[in-house]
This record gives sequence, structure tokens and C-alpha cells, in this order.
Amino acid sequence: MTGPEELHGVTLLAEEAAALAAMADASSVAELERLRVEWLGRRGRVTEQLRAVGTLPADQRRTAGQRLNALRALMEKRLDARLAECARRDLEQRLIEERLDLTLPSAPPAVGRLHPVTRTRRRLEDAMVRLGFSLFEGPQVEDEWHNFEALNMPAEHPAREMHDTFYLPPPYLLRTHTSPFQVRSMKAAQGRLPLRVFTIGTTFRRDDDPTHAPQFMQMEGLLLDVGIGLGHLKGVVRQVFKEVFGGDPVLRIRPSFFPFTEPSVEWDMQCTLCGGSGCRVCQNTGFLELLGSGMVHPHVIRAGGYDPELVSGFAFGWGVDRLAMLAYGIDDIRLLYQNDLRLLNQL
Amino acid sequence: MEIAASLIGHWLREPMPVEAMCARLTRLGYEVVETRPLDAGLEPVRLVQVVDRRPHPSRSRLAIVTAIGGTEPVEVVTGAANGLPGERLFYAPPGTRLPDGRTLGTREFGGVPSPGMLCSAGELGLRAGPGDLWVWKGPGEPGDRYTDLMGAETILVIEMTPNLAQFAQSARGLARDLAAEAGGRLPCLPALQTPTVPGRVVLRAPDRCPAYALYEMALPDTDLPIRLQRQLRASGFRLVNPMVDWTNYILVDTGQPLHAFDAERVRLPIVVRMAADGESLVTLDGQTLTLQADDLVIADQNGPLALAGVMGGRDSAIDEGTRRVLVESAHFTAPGIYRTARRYNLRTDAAERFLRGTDPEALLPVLGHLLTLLGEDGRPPTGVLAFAGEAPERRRAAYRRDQIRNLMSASWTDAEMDGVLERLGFVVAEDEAVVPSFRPDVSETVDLAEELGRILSLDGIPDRVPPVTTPAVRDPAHRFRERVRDLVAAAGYTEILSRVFVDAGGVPGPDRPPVVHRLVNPLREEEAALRTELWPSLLETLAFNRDRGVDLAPLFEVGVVYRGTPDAPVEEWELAAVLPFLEDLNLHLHLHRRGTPDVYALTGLVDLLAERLHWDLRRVSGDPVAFLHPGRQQKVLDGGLLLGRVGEIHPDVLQGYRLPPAGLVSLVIRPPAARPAPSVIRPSRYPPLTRDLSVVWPDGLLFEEARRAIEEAGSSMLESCVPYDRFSGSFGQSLTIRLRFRAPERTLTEDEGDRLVQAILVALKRHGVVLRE
Ligand SMILES: [Zn+2]
Repeated sequence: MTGPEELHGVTLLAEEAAALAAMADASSVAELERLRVEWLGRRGRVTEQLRAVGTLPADQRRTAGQRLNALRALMEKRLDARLAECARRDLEQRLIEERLDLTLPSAPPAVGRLHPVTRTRRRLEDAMVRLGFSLFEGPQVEDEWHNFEALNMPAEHPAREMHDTFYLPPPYLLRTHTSPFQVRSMKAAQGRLPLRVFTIGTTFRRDDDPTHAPQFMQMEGLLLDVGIGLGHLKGVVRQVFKEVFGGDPVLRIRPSFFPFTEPSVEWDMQCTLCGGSGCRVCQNTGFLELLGSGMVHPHVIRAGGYDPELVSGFAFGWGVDRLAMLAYGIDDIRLLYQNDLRLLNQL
Repeated sequence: MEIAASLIGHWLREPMPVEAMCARLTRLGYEVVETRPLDAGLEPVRLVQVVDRRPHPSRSRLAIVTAIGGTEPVEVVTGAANGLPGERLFYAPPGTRLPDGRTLGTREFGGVPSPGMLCSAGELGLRAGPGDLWVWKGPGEPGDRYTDLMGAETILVIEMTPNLAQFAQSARGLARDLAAEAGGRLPCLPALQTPTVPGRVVLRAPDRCPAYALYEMALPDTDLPIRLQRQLRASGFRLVNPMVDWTNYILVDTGQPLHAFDAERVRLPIVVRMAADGESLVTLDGQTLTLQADDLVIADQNGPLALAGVMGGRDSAIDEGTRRVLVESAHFTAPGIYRTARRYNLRTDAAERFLRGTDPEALLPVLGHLLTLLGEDGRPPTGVLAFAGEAPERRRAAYRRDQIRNLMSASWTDAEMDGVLERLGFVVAEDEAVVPSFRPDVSETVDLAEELGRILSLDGIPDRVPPVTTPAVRDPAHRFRERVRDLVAAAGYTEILSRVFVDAGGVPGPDRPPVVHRLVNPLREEEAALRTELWPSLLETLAFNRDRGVDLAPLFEVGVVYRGTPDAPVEEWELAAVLPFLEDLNLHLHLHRRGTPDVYALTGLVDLLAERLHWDLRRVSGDPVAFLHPGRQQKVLDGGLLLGRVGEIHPDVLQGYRLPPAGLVSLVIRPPAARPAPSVIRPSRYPPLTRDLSVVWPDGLLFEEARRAIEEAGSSMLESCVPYDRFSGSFGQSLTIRLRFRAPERTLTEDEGDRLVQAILVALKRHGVVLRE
């Protein structure tokens, strides 16, 4: 330790120089804090000297004051710089120590999911709304008149046997199809035209096997107006297929039978799984029977309160579950309603 | 139905390959769902000629026959009396699958191996006599295949829709459409040139049986030629005896059922009448039926002989002793047959035709067809014909060509349309068409339109799309339910769709409302009623998954429940959500998220629905229900309307399903009336003032009451009031509440904060809440 040292124009005592050096070299936040308290704290050596400046002779006060303030600034700067370095180093150290195994199972937000039939139903609904059909609903507990008579199926019509019906005490039953909607929507519209509506909902048949559940879901569309013909049915149903399946599906039509439409037309779509070459899903026919349709029978139009001499229309319907099964590759309809979480969580 | 392709083909002028026939039938509405060869399994069978026959060395009743045909001679052991040198027989080598299902191998008889067998006609599914083995008299050389000698016969399996079944459940019916499509017509059936004898038939119920023919003749000894036997078998019939087989053949060929009585067991005249209530009849299959006044019977002077159009009686049936027969060819109207067939559950082939509709004008031509076939061996039968009644007058359908063209969006010419209808048997006039007697399904213009569409093809009709003139809308109630679904799913619940059927005894557990709607014809007893509550389905689903070792998860369903009364059903849409109070193991791993959900997660779900859907749901304590924990449940109200419940499920109910603790929300979904969007309060730019209050909480005080006092005292400056810590000590229950104050236009001072807290403490003191020292 020789004579006074000078740093940034400040003349330093030896121990002050040593303290500044220690501040520059300190390796921890704690050590820096100790140095700050020792020199700059409320009872720190610089603080005490500054406080004592007033007691000095007047001619020394100014010089001593200036020197001590400069020294304090110097020390503060040194301390802050070193503190920042140490803090940075500590943070880096902590971050290294905080490393986590991100291959552990994640903790995703607890969000549930919608049933596959609900999602398929919505896909159909959206397609129908895009095509200008309005959605309405009807009751599931129907009366015989709406479910059968109004649809051209009088009491002893053999076609009623195709509907294995769940009966409630008369006149009620569980609707066997969504077709009662045709008459209900006509009656509700009270003569307004055009009627461009659809419904989608639960239907019931007394049946229980891999392809038939006692409870299933159907969609039914109806368009009624002046001058509607089979060409309109073909045009609109083709659009429906395009909207639902995308692209331009290969379709085949066949005459079919529903008591409430005449003529009736069945739509087959080339199997999407095998492309028509035949597979298990299409039972080696290359085609999937998907949609039934037809021109609304005059008796039904009359039952709905319209005059079949003046207006005509068409109806079409298909199974929502069947489309869900196709979409998700499920071959037993009962699986859809069993609600096994292992299945639902895959879909 | 199943039908032989060749049986359809024999009515057509031009031969039609089977594939073409199937494609055209499908296009005409007769969907051919399957085709298969009649002789499947018989491919290895071939014609052989016997060259040697010698006795079996040790078995006296057996012989060893050597036959040639094919690659090398075969030696077969036979027990048949025929099979003599020079005779041509059918040999079925090992690997042959016979119609009765047997697959042949090599057997050993007394040390002599015998590969396959020499066949009788019966073993090949046919009938030919005399002798045990079928001695072939037809053309062909030893070595020729059986299937080639017989000619291919294909079984068509057709899915027949009820409308087409009214006139096309026969070879002739199907052929008529094929011919019409190809531009041709069917040949007429032969007229029966026999005078009728009066007094043998009396019709007492002309609306049920308008016409009846009866032909008496000696029991025909003519068997069906092999070709016809094969056609009958390929149409789904077993061979029984020649008389039955002939009538079955006519049935499948023309669609007209015939019935044969043993003439010596009938005391004429035949009376076609309604049964007397309680009258009984023993049917062919041995059942004793007690008849009703709505049943039509064929009776003689001793009583009912047969259930008309449905099934014959045992006492007048033909058997081995029969010498003379009465062949009935009658028209029975469809609805009555339908009722009777259904009443006794007798779906015979005859009933299946009559209940859909037959041709009343075909009675005599069909008998003529039978007699022609019987006479093909050169010995036409002779007999006595009786006929009563008459076929109903033919119907007339309005035939408006323009209306048809509009309905079908088609540009068919008048000539095209008229031509098709004429080929189908209609007589076409200016504005009407006379409907042929075999078409009970046609009565108006749309029916004609359908026929034209089928025959002229729907493929050619151009697609058209009517423009959308009004934007589509969705039922608002439906839309609201969809928002409920989305929100509850987003809140962590998985949607299920469950069945609506429940046990008629109601939902298990204490004090459940009984079911309202019982099914008359349930599939099974435990599914005999419609649910009145949704939540039990969720508990069942949890139990179902638990039984399969699947981790339980929060579930929900939005579905219909069936209430009201049996006379006035009311369907209500409900939301049910169930939350098992189980710790999420995965979250346990991440220590900072440890915790088991409890009932507050469910009250929280209700609050979320209320907030996000602007649904005025309020939770109110009181009127506890038995299926929930008595101290942990609330009602959920919308205005004054009780919508449902939220709470922890009663342990008794959970035990019934063997489930861990869980809570539920069960709500009727009634979409709230549209409300104006809430006006927004501009968020303050100034900092908040936060104070924590630790207070001693008196027993029984509801937080709700204290919160209201705090809010009142805290004025508009109180931004939030959150209890965040709770513990008990010597002082009793303690709660720490974090209060946050904020002013809209300035920074609150500490003094103001102190004053607000003081005011709140004063208010709380009135409820017995004091600051904890
Ligand atoms: Zn396929």
C-alpha cells in the first residue's frame, strides 16, 4: 500500500481502493450487500464521513464533500454493475437447475368432447342450412295419425309392418321415422310457400342388432312449392351429397318405395372405402345405400293442408348414425350408444 | 324373395343373360341383393356309365360297381338294386357338397374302399324314378358334368318393396316389367276351354271373396319335369309331392296361389263364408284354431275345410290315399287376409300373395296354365269346372300427361308414355287409363307417373336446383341447446347419448318420481318405460365404464325426458352433468395442481351457464330432494321457475351404482327470452387498493348473506370480494377475505381504504362476524 491512488479523478485512500476492488471481484449478491452496508449503509463508512463533513473546518468542507460524493457514486456504480452480473449468473444457474422432464404426461386444459353422433348431426345440419333449409323440430312421442295415417299408411297397410313400432297407450307411439315432420311442418306453415325445411332427431324401432338399434337418429328434408318436380329432387339431393361428403361422389338412383312419396327414389353412393371394388362395409356391392327420397304423395300434401293440384314437393331422409358409423369406421351401431369412454375418447 | 332366373326368363321372347337381368331388375326397383348358383357344391358330379357290377366279397346286400367317365374308371360300393352294366348314372366324387349339406369323402365297406357315391335323384335335390339310383335317360356322354347337363340355374334374391310385391311377386310379374322396359309384352295365359257346372260353389261373402273357381280331376300322376323341379327349388321351395309341387310351381310362376283338397273328403257344395265366432279348424300344420267372425273360411256341408287364402285344413288335405282332387283358384281381397294371417301368425306363401293383392281375372287362365303343363306329356287331364262370382270391375285412373311430365321433370312424348302403359297392361284413353286387374296398387295419376319413371328410367331426368329465396334459420330452442352442449363440453365434460328406455319400476334410489309412460310392447322388461330423469343414465354410464376398468370422467347429456301424463305427454329437454369427485392422477403428478373436485365445481358449472348464456339461473337453498346429499344441494331457478338441482349425490344412490362420491347438475333447458346485451362498464385506469380481512365466522352464517352485507357497505368502490382461506382455531371458524377496491376516475387513498374496511366491518358485525385478533 503506497500513496493515495486516483480513480476517475477521485483520490482514494488505500482501504477505499481495496474496497472498490473487492466490489468489482465480489462473487455473490450477499457479499455485495455486505460491502454496500459497510460503505454506503446508514452507518456505512462513506455515509458516516459525509455526515461528519459539517464538522470539518470550513476550508476543507467543500473538497472533502466533493470527494466523498464522488466516491459514493463510484461505489454505487461498481456495486450495481457487479450486482447485475451476479444476478444474471445466478439466474442462469437457477434456470439450469430448474430443468424439467417435458416428456412426462402433459396437463392439458380439462376440455370435454361432443358425442360423435352430435358432431355428425351438426355436419349434416350445417350442410342443410347452407343449402337454404331451415331447421325445425317435432315430438318424439307421436300419435298414430301423424306417424302413419297422415303418411298414407292406414291401419291395415302392410307397410306398417316394416316399422317395428314401440307403442304407448293409444293414440301414442314412439315415432318410427322423422317423416311425421312433413305433415307437421306443412300444417305449421299454414299455406306459406316455398317450404324449405328439415328436421333431425331421435327415432325408434323395435329392433336390436348390429345394424339396427332400438333408438337411432334420422334427418328429413322437405321442399314444397309450385312446380317442383323430380329433377329438383335430383338436383338438390346431389347437392346434399356434395356438401356432406365433399367432392363429387358417384351416385346411383333406384326406384324404391315409401308409402308417403310417389315416385320414391333410393340413392346409393359408391363406397368411399373401396372405391366401388367391393369390401366388407359395402357388403361387396361397391355401393352404400344411404338416402331415401321421393315426391311427396298427394295424400300427404293434402294431410298437410295444401292442395296437391297446385303444389308439389319432395322429401328425403337418411340415418345420422349410419353416417357417423361410416365417418368413424364403426360397424356395430350399438357401440355408438354404449358410451364406452375408451371409444368416445378416440373419436 | 328368392326366384329362379330361368323361371323369369321363360316368359321373355329373347333370352336374357343373368347379369343383365339383375341389373335391369335393380333399375326397375327390384333390388337383386344376391345371386347364387342352385348347384353350388355339385360341380364335381359327372355322368358315368356302368361297365361292371360284382357282389361285395363279404356283404351280401352290397355290390361293387365299376363305371367309366372322366379320367379313369371308378369303383364304388353301392346298396342300390339298380346300377347295372350299361346304365348311365351320376357319380359324385369325394369333395362333392350335396344339397342336404353333406360333403362326401371315401368310405370303407367291409374292407372295400368306396370313394364318393353314385347318386339317387333325391341326393341331388330332385325326384326321379323308378329305382334307387338315378338312371339318366337324357343326352350326354360319360364324363359330362352334371351342371352342364342340367344347365345353369341361378337363384336371385330380390328385396321386394311392398308396392311392387302387390303385383310382381312371381316370375310372370317380374318378366312383365322386363319385357315392358325392352319394348315388348308378355304372351297371354291360355284360356280354359271347359264348360262350368253350376251348384258346386256358393259365395256368401262377396266382398271378401268376389270370385272362386274349382276344378275337380283325378290326382295327376304326372310329375314335374326335372327342369321345373329345379326352377321350383331355385325359387326357395322344397319338393313335397307332385300335387303340392305343381301348385307351388304355379304360385311362383304366376303369383296365383292354388289349393288342392282331397275330393273324397269334401261334401260339395263348397261354401265360402265368414266363420262363426268360436268355430274351430285344425290346420295343415296341426294347430287347432278357434276362429273369429272376421275370418273367411272355405267350408263344405260338414264345416270349415280351410282358412281361406291362408292355410288349408288337415282333414281335407291330400295324402297317399288321395285319388281325386279339387283344385281351388280363388280371389280373396287383401285386407281380410292380412288381418287373419296376422291374427294367427300364419305367413304362408299363399297368404303372402293374397294379403298384398292378386289378379282376380287370372283364376281360370291360371288353371288353364296348370292343365297345359300337366298335359305336356301328351295326356291332358279332364275334369269338372265350377265357377262362382265375378272379378271386380277394372279401376280407372286419371291420366294427365302434362301433370306427369311436370312431376317427373321429364320431356317424354305422349306416345312414349302411352306405349309404356300399354305394355304394362293398361288401356290408355284421352285422360284416363284403365288399370289392369293385376295392379291393385294403381289408382291415380301419381301411380302412373311412378310406373313411367321406373320403365323409362330416372337417370335421364335432368338435375335442377330451385333457388334459395329466403335465408335458412334454425329453431331458437335448438340453437340454445347447442350452446349449452358446447359450453358444458368446454368445461371438461364428455357428452354421451343414452337410451331413453328405463325399467318400469323407475329409477333406483330413494324417493324417485315414478315413470309416466310405459311401452305396450317393450323389447325387454328392464326397458319397459320412458325416462323421466336424465341423470340416472349418466350414473349407469359411469358404472358401465367402471365395470370395464375405465377411468371415470365428467359426463353430460342433453336429451329428452318424458313427463306429463299418459294422455298428455310432455317432452322436456334436460341437461344433466355428473362429476366424479376423484383426483386426477395426471394432475397429481404436477404437484402444483393437486386437488379433488367437489360440489363447488358443479355450482360453478351452473354459474358458468348463467354467465355465458345470459341465462337467468339462480341457485337457492331449500326444499331438499332425497337423491342428493341433504346438506349439499340447491335448487336452480330461472325467475320463479324451478329448472332443476345441483348438488352432491346422496351416498345411498351412489351405493346403488357402486360409484365413488360424485355430484350432479340436472336442469330443464328452457331458452331464456332474448335480453338486450348488457351495457359495458369502462374499466378504470387507476390502481386498485387491496385489503385482506381475517374474520371469525359464526356457526350457520351463509356466505351469501355476508357477501351481500359486504357489497352494500363497500359501495361501488368494491370491485371484488373473494374468500381465499379458511381454518379453525380456539376462536372457532375463521375466514380470510380479500377485498379489492377501485375508483373509476382517481386513485383511492389509504385513508379511503381504511374507511371502506371500517364500514364493511360494521356491517359484518351485525351478522356476528368480527375481526380475528
Ligand atoms: Zn366398399
